[in-house]
Amino acid sequence: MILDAAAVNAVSKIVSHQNDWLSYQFSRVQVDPYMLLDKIRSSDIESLSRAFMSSVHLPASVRQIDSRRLKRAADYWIELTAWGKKESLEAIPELQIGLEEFELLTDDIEKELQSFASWLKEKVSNGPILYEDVLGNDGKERVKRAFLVSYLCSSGVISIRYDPSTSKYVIVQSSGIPDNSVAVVL
Amino acid sequence: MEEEELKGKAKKLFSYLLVQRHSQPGCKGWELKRLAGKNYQEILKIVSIMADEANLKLVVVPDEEQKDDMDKARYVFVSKDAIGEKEGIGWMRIEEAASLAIILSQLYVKGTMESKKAIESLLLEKLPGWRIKQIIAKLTRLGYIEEDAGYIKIGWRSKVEVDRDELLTSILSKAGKEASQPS
Repeated sequence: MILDAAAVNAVSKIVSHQNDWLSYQFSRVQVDPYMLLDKIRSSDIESLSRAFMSSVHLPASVRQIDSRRLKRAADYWIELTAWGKKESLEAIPELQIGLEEFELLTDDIEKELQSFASWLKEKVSNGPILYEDVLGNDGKERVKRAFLVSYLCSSGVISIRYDPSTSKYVIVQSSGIPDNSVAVVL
Repeated sequence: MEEEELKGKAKKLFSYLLVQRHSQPGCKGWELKRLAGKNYQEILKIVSIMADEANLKLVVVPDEEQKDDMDKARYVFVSKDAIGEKEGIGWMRIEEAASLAIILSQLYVKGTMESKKAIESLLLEKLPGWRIKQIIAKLTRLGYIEEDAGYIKIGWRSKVEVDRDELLTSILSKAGKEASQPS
């Protein structure tokens, strides 16, 4: 009896979905799916992108800051004691200059990117972490990590923010919208 | 209701709709009802005229569960003009916009839902697999599409921002022609 009821319920859901689908189709312009598929296959990425852009109407909205956040921002601003005070630069240590070939292979980088992204996401889930700490000190590894971080930022997986109170860059959880431009600092 | 009172309420709703109070733009019908009373749907007709004068359009996105309940629908102002082919969106790359065009066009003609595998296999004709996974994840995060048990659905953002008929017409009329034109 219960199985029968479950079966009837499942069938009724299918009928309901079919009804929704039919109502949806009859309410709009009819397009032949096969013709559309042919057009997509014969179009290049750029023309498809243009087709999309010509059909997007951005929402019109005004974002505002509430009084509590405004007070928090003001408190933060007041606490910035080092504002305007330039820190003296340390002498540049003598370095041994050398060139080393460094190649990032596509297959390797894909795997590296996935494992690095999951490691970094776990780290930032507990709060912001210093960008400098993520890079490490090893030259080759440092270059690779800087590249991976910039890629993940531009993909919207994580974000980089500048903390003016410590004059350091920190990696934080992504707010959803990817960073437009990410400079690689080594 | 007097004309002045109607106009006053319409102005109130117009400014309420314009100021973003939540993570998503616009507001729900019940919020407008609270502000303007039971007959807010009538006042929204005046708001639509006011929006038209400001080159805006009032879009109504029905609730996923209760499509006929206008109190649960989302009301959003969008620009009447499309972004345009030359302008683009700063944070959306060319291959991401193209992928979204492909995904949405398939969802529009196949009934608002399609298996992720079918979408991925279609995108594989244009892009490498690892990039497709990234793009789908990004578009999901931005709210353009939704993933549900191996299926892809149209997200809230596409419902608000993308004009279905314009996209399909654009793909059918422009995309193929441009690709076949000699450079």
